Amino acid sequence: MSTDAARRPPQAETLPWLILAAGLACLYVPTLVDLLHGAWTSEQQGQGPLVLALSVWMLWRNRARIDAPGPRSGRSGAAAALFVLGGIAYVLGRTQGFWFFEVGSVIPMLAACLMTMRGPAAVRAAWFPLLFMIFMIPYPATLVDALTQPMKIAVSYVAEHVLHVFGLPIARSGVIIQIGQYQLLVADACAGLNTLFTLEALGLMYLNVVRHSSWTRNVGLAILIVPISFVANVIRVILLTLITYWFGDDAGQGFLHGFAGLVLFLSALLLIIGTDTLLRFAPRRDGAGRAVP
Amino acid sequence: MIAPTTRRACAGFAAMAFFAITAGALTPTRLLADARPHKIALAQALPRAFGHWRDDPAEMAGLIVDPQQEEVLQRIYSQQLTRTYVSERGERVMVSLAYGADQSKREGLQLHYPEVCYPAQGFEVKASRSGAIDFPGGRLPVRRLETVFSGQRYEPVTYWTMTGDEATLGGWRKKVVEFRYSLQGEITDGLLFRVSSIGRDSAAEFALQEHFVRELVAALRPEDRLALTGLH
Repeated sequence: MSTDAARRPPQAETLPWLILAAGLACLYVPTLVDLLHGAWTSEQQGQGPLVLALSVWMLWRNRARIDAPGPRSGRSGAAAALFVLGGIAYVLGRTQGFWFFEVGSVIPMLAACLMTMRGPAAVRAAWFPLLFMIFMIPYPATLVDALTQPMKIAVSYVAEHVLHVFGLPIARSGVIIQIGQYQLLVADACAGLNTLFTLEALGLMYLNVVRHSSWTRNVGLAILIVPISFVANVIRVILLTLITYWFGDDAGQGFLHGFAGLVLFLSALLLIIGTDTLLRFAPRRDGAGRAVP
Repeated sequence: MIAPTTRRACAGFAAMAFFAITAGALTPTRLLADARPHKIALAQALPRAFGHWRDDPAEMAGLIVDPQQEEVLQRIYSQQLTRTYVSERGERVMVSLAYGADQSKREGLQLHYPEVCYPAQGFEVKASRSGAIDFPGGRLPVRRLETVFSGQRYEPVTYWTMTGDEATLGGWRKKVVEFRYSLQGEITDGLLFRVSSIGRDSAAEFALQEHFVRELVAALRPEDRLALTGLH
């Protein structure tokens, strides 16, 4: 059995992959249609199609490693377990309206396909694009609700204190910032939940593409993206507050609002690169006795 | 001869097709809202005068209308009703109902809870406690929030939500009720019933709101009482 796949040229293996792709299409074309008409059209979940495209691209890019010819054979038992796991999640999610289970089931389903064709080695080779798909799942409303409010208050609090230090006439009550004669409401988008998930996804993607050998640097950067996205959001709120204070309400709500969004991503990018540069030097100082290749 | 990989791929296809068909068959498609013998009409359901209370049509001041917020509300709710009732002694109670006919999915279309949407408009929620109002016909679970806007406008809120014909406070209870309806092929509707008044003494305001709810529930027609409170 195990030598069977090895004897065949790669071309002969197209048919089984197509059969599995047809099965995946049965499951996920309806899901994709629903996503494109629903959750993914909203500003909050807008990164979904991008994440899907990146995952597919990474799978395709690594196809040689994933679908490597060699003495590996599929594992029917493990594949069946993954199919059942994914299937239950899918049915539960689709019938009960849990995006998390419905979209999340694509991960065990794809793993099952790889397992049945090429065995555990193929699943290992594809682990990153598979797990990356977590970021395309629309976040559960309960999670968003639970995180948004405290983050908004924290962003408003820090922005108020920074501007206060610079002597601006600022006051805050909850998420309402009063500057001069203007009153600003820190909106849900300013909490930066969306920014956080998008940056985390892009950051991990960056780390995967760059393939740092140092784990300190990889894990460190992945964790530091959380405070970085917070700081970037504080910068945006401060900027919008100042624009409103100096140029009036129209400017703050008009084209400069979009400009502030751009600043958010630029500052986040600079902070990530800066942090990455700092982390690069960290292992050198303490890594003398450690086996860093 | 069929290659083993092709055989296994066919088995995989069969498994995926089975789950796709199962999900298709078990997904509810009928809206409970359409199947109801008495359609929900909020404006008609709530009497304009009952017990000690009268509707005050002039009183819509102090309401903050945010155009963006308004657009979202229009999208997610099929019906909305806001009224202010004034008692013979001059006490004011604000009532706000939001009804969504399709709670199936797509979380964006689901009810928005006051502990989420009050803060989104700048209110601080100081306290949130779940409780209940007992009636001869059953128990109505309610949540009581103490909210304050800009440190000046204290607005205690009593609210409950309906999932189909059952009063819930959201969370897992709501999911369980939705699951029960889905087994009958039905998609539940959802209703948010919010009662609030302005005053610094939260305990007194909550008592006022409870008094209001008791008189209102007693004045509702039986079919509306079931749909709006789950009480018989």
